[in-house]
This record gives sequence, C-alpha cells and structure tokens, in this order.
Amino acid sequence: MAVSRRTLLFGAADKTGADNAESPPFAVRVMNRMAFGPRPGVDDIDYFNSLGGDDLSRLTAYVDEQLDPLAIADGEADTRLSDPAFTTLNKTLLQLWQDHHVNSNNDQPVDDVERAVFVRAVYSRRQLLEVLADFWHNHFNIYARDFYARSTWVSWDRDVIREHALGNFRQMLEATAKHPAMLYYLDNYTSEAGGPNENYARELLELHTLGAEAYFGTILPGDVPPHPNDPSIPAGYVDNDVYEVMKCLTGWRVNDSSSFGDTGEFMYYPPWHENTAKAVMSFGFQNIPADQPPEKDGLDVLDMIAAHPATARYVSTKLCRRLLADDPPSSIVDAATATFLANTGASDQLKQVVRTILLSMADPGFDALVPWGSKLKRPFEQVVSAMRAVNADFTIKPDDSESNSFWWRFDDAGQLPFNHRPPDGYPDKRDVWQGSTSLVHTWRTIDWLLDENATTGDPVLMPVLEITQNEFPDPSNYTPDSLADFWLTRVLRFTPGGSGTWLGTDTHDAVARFLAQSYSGASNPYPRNKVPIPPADLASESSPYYWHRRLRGMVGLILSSPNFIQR
Amino acid sequence: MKLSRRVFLSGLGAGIGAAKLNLTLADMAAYKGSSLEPPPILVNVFLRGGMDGLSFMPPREGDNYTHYETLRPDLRITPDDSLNVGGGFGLHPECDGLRRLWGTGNLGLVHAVGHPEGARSRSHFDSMQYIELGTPGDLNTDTGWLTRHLQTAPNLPGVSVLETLVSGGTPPTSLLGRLNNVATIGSTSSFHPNSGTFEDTHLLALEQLYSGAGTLDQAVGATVDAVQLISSLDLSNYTPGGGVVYPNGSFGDDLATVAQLIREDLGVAIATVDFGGWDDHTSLAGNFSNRVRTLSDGLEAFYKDLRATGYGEKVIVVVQTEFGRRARENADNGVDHGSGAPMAIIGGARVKRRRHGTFPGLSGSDLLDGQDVFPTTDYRRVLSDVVSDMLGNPNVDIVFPGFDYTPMGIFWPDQIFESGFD
Repeated sequence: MAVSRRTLLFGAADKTGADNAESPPFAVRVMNRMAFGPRPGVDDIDYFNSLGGDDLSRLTAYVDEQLDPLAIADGEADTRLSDPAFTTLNKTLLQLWQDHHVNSNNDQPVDDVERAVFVRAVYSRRQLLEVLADFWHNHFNIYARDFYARSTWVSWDRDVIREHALGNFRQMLEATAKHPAMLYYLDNYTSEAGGPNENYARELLELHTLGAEAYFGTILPGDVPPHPNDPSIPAGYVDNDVYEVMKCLTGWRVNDSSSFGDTGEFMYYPPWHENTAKAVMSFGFQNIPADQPPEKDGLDVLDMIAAHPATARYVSTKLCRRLLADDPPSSIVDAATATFLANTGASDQLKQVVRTILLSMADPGFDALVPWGSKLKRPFEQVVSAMRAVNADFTIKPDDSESNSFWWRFDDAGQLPFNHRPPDGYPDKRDVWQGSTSLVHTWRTIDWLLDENATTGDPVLMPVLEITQNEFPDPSNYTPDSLADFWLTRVLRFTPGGSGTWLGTDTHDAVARFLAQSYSGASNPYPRNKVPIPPADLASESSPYYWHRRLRGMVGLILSSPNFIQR
Repeated sequence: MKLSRRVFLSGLGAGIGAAKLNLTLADMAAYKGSSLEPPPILVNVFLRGGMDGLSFMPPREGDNYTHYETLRPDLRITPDDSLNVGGGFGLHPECDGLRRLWGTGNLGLVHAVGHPEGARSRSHFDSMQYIELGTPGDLNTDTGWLTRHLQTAPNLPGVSVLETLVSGGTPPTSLLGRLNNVATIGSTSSFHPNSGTFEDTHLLALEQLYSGAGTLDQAVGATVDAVQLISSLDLSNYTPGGGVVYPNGSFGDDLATVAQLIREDLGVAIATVDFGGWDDHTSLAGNFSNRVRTLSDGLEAFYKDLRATGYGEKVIVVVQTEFGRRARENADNGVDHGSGAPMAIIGGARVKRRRHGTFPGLSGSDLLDGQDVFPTTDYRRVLSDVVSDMLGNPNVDIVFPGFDYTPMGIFWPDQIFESGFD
C-alpha cells in the first residue's frame, strides 16, 4: 500500500473518542441512541429487556412501540406541561398570530416551546419522537426569535415538525414551505415576480432536500450529468435551477396585511407570481409550463425534489448521523435510502426510514461498523440524559426564576434550542462539541442542577442524597469505594462485562479517589476508601468532610465521564 | 500552586498530538521572559454570512461610481458619505475606526478577493469550507489551512502554554485536524465545571477519567488546561491599553478576551474570531451600518489596545468573508449571494497601507456572469503572503496544496524594517 505524503508528514490520525469507555449492554446502547438515555425506574433497561427473548425481538418491539408515539401514555410530561406558566402551547396558528403578532408583539410562544422541549425530552415516554423532533427542527432550521417565527413558534413545532416527523417527507416539505416562520426566515414572503428573492430557493435545495453534494455550481443545466440510477433526471442542481425554483415560488407569501384579513396563514398571491415557463432540473428544457393554476409551479417543484434520489440519500445520511454515528456506514445509509425511495408516496415514509436505520442495530456486524462511543452527546443531550439518569424533579418553564438560572448557564454551552441563526442547524459531529467552552458550560449546568437547593431546605432538583439513602443496600457500609460503585452502576446502568462491580476499573478509581480525597482544612483523620462514612454524616454540608458535597461532586464526575457523554 | 499544563509541540516532524508536561506558574513566568522571538500572532477574523463588499468599500468616482449608482439605486453610499481611502474608493461611513487605522498606516485593503474558477459557489457552507480547508473545490480535505500552517511553521516556539485560541464556542474548520488540541474560550465568567471546595480535585479526577490517547481524551485535557488558565487570570477586571473601549456585544467581548490573553504572553500563535450575521438578503442599509460600526470600532479598539501595550508589531489581523454579494441590489433592499469581496489586513509597520489587488469594474461586461464583482485575487494568495512574509513559514505549498503562488507584496520585507529607522 502506498503511503501518502500527508501520512508521512503528520502521522496517523488519533483514535476517536476516549480510551476509558467500556461498552455497555445492548439495552443501554439502544436507549442512548434512540432515546435520551435510561431513566431509572421509569424508562429503564428492565423494560426493554422484558420485550422479547433476544436482542432483535426486543429491539423490534421497542422500536415499533416508539414509532407509534400516540399510543404511549404520557401522563407525566402532560402533567408538567399543564403548568399554568405555559400559556401558548394549545393555541392555533390563527390565535398565535392574533395574540402575539397583531395585538401585541412578543416571544412568549418561543419561551414556551424552548422550555417545553426540555420537559418533554426528560419526562416524555415518547422518547424517539423527541429525538426526531430535535432532528427535524435542525434539518429545517429556523432562528425562532426571527420576526414571524417568534409569534407562531408553537405552531411550527406542533403543526409542522411534530405532525410530520414520522410522516411523509413530501408533505412535511410543503408544510415547512407554507409556514409563516419559514416564509419569513428565508425571505420568500416578499419574493415577487418583479423582485424575486433567492434565499429560500437556494436553501430549499441545498439544506432541505438535495444537499450540497448534489450542487453542481454555476455550470449550464445541460452540462449536469444524468443521475446514475435514473438517466432521465439530472444528478443534481445548478445555480440556474435555484433561479427557476425561485420563480416558481414567487407569490408564496404570508397573509400579513389587513387588506387580506391578516391571519398569519400561508397565502398564494397571483399578482406576485412569475407566470412564464420554467426549466427546473431538466437539463435546461422547460418542464414547468407558463400560466399554471395557483401554487402549481411550486408544488411541482416540491414533488420533483422530494422524490429525487439525492434527497433520499441526503436525508437518510443525516438521520443515520443523528441516530448512529458521525460518519455512518454506507451499508446502512444505502438501506435507509432505499426505504425512503420505496415509500415516497406512503403516509408513514419517514417512520419506515427510521425503522430501517434503528433495526440495523441488531444486525450481526453492526458493532464493528458503529463502535460504541461513535457519537459525543451534544450539550442538550448531555444535560437531558443527566437529568434522566438522576431522576431529576424539575419542570423547566417560562417566567420562573429557577428555570431562568438554569437557562443562563445552559446558554453558555452553545446549544439553546432554536437559537442557531444560520439555516443549517446545529452541527452534528463531535469535533464541534468537544471544545472547552461547550464541555465546561455543559458540566457547569449539570453541577448547578446537582447543587441547587442542596443546602437551603427547598426541594432539590437532583435527589442524589435521597437516592443514596433509599437505594443503597447497606447504610452501615457507606464507604467511598462502595458508594462510587453504587453510583457508577446507578447512572451508567451496567457493570463492565456484567461482573456486578466497577471496583478495579480506572473509572472507579478516579471517582472513588475524589470521594475519599483528603481535605487540607481537616485535622481529623483522612477519609479512607474502605472506611465507612457514618450514615448521619452523609448529609453533612460542613467541615471537616462535606460528605454531601463530595457525593454530589462525584455524581457530577460520573455524569461527565467518557462512559456517559458518549453514545 | 502547581498547574498541570498540556504543552503543544509544534514544528515540522513533531507530529500531531500533545505532550503532557507539568508547568508551574514559575515556568509560565520564565516563558514570558524567554528570549525567543516568535512570529507575529495571527488573528483571523471571519465575517460569516457573506459581507457586501460594495457597502464596505464603495467606489466614489468615475465609471465605477456611475455603474454603482445604477446597480444600487437605493443602497448606494455616496461620495459625500464614504470615507476616502484614495484611488476612487472609500470606506462605509460607519468605519471611522478603520479609517483612523488607515490614517496611521496600520490598515491594508485588498480588492475583490474570492474563489478561483471552478470553486465558485453561492453556498455559504461550501464557500466557507473551501476557504477554511484551503482547498478550493475539495471538501474532503482532513486538515484546515491553519492546522497545516501550525504543523509546518519552522519558527514557532517549541513550547507554548496556549498555542491556539478560539474565541466563542465553536472551533472553525480552518483548524480541522487540530480541534481537540484547541482551547475555545467563550463566556469566561464562571468557567469551571465544579467551582468551590473541591474545584482542584474535580479537575484532577477529570484528567484521570480522560487519561487515554483518544481525541476526546485530548479535548478534555485541553479543557482542563483552559479552565486552569482562565482561573489563574483576572479576566473580569481587564483594563485595555490606550484607554480604548471595546464595543458592546459578543464581537467586542471576544476581541477583548483575545487581546487579554495575547498580553499574558502564553505563546499564542493563532487566534480566531467569528462575527456572524452578514447575510443581508433584505433591508441591508440599517443592519449593515450597525454591524460594520461594531466591526470597525472593535478592530480599532483591539489594535490600539495591543499597540499601546507593546504588541503593535506582534499581531497581524486578517479579516475575510466567504463571498461578497451581487452587484445589483434586489427588490427587498438587500443583495443576494455573490463573489468578490474585500479583505482587510491590520498590523504594524510592515503592513503596506494600500488598496492591493485590482478592482475589476462594475460594467455589465466587467461583472462575473453579468452579476457579481469579479474576484480578481484568489484568497490563497493573500493568505500565502501572510503565511510566508509575516509568519515566516515557507511551506506555502503544504498550507495551500496545489496553489501556484505568486507573492502579492502586501507587506514590506522584514529586513527593511529591521535595518531601517529605529
């Protein structure tokens, strides 16, 4: 094999990930990929393991259950979201527009949804739907505090993203194209024949459907190669297609004028439409006739691009990247793409694609193709899965000082929901998220969750002490070693190789050492790894040992360990 | 206090990777006093979204202005308003700060910089990647151009406390292949995963948990270093030099943090700063004015801060964007994605105060495809001048593989400066 100059100069690439990451059992891996991790006692691996006799049957049952979210009772999330602090979640698009755009002008719908997504991610049992809603929000990314988006955000989240997340891609695409949030964000709301705006048309092709890999730049339409699987269509698009699509979509605007009723709904406005014939992805030949009926030009475009093989591949690749690995194996992408294309007319097309991807986890050879730890959890996933792992009791909601304290900290980690301004969505590769800013502020947010109210007598958010007292088998044996072992197992939901203990691992050594550390302020005997802590001292928040503080710090370390923050 | 520091080994043959040494505060002090004379620190400011060059540096006279008036009936900036930089061009009226830097000879401008033929894209994301990877038309390159510079520069100090500094949260593609060794420094207040009683031992435990050789191990190691570094500095009580005031907002904050860390003499070789929001498809006039004022005021404050504290010859600021915008305004008082856009270079006496490169003209036949400011200078040429002349790295062929580099002469030769006035 020839060795490239680059390799000689710079050496082999580093190993991805972290070395201290034991591979957990199948159930734990599955629940970290298609859910925000296990939630002990509620959404737990015992339940997954009860679903069948082998991995494939358990996985199939779990995936199919999660793919039918409305059949899953979701009382806890519903109860938390019925908190009176959430005031806009049940409003229709018309009500939202009237209340938050026409009669006043405010961000309340964004405040509600951005906090509701935390509540749902932590407490909803429809975990896969939450994972996918996050995916589609980023695929069709909008900066939520943009003008028409902020008043209608509840509708965008509910009527567009969640409504179609397991539905048909073509239908979803049309819903995005016609929502006031998208029409405004990418400027199509103002695009008219006499002064077209190409912003939406370009991102529609590059980010929403065909993908940048199918962009052939500024060459002539007739010079685009035919698609290898279907020579009747071009392999991708060129700049001229952007302009032609832009023309097709002129007059797609928002009913935002009192002369039309000012409803905030989508409106096709014939005087603004460019009625000439157009050539969209057709090697330059006109395939959109002049003077078509209302909306028809644009709908033809959506039909064309939603069914294009490049779209199938691009969307499938991104879904695989979200669910499985930064660089997903081509065999799984191929299978997902085939499912996408075989179901272009199906009302459950996206459900079928997701099913194909997730069931691959039980394939023989999957673990070699997608090693455990292929993904780094992003700040949102780290915080949510930490709240699940420690059974947090915290309804993050608007106009609440404790929620705001959380929010300011999490903001610094760089992944506030719906706060990414460019249209490409938050990045989904580990390189971007392993910078010190993201890591430190994510961990600091979790540290705050662990500490909040621990010394005030108010209800704590993360019941570390209570869990220890209720679940630790033998209070006379509160040694640092055994507490570290207990919490590693409690958080990570497994022991290495099913041995029943973490004792003897580097991970255990690091966190037990933290718990048993000497403290310079103490003239008392040093703590010892194997010497029990008096049960009454475990709640101590004071000198010399601060046992409660040590315990919370140790749980924080476990929640920032390689075993927890990768998936 | 013993600081456990990740120390970066630089230079050809050192390879990727970090060696872990234990540096004490005394070592840091010794480093500050070392006789090494490293190359200037490159501060790479990237204006994300595609900055409109014809609003940043509009023509003021002649045919260029006549065409400009026609192309920009509503958005044009008149000669009465723009700030003259000679040659028939001016700066945007909100660029007083940059105009002052021009006046003191600390600013160079380059006309109509862009992508070479075959790699021109109207996609923000492709265009940024091409520039940051330094390989036009190829998105599969696995290292960024800054990474390759750091890997091949022969004159970087062998040891530095903080080689690369990324302000804000997200490391740029230009550092791809080195990201896990990069400290990203944003939101520096309360920059600790568990401050209080057990803050030092918490960091020690993190280092133990991430003691392997994987990329995440390295990233967490760099993170622990960054936490210790930030903790050891008094960032909240920063007094900029020269009495300057940084503009409000994240761009000003980021520049102030970079200046502060540069002044700590930690061996910073590269700093990157992002400034987003330049995608003016609609209502350009007011939005652009506010943004360019922040840009201009921020850059002036940054340079004057450093100059007043003795770093005026030790930094070189390079300002660029992924593409310019269409020559003709659209119907929404905005401009859509285009091609050529100016670059700005800020630094000390070696920066030639000139409008470098060629303005291509604005007649219908001058424009690229009849629409865009024609890119007359490949961005790699400007950056190669920076790499070879200012940073002293002759390996331009590795930093920009396959690029047929002809020097532009943006900088005065080092010798003249050294043997000249003193």
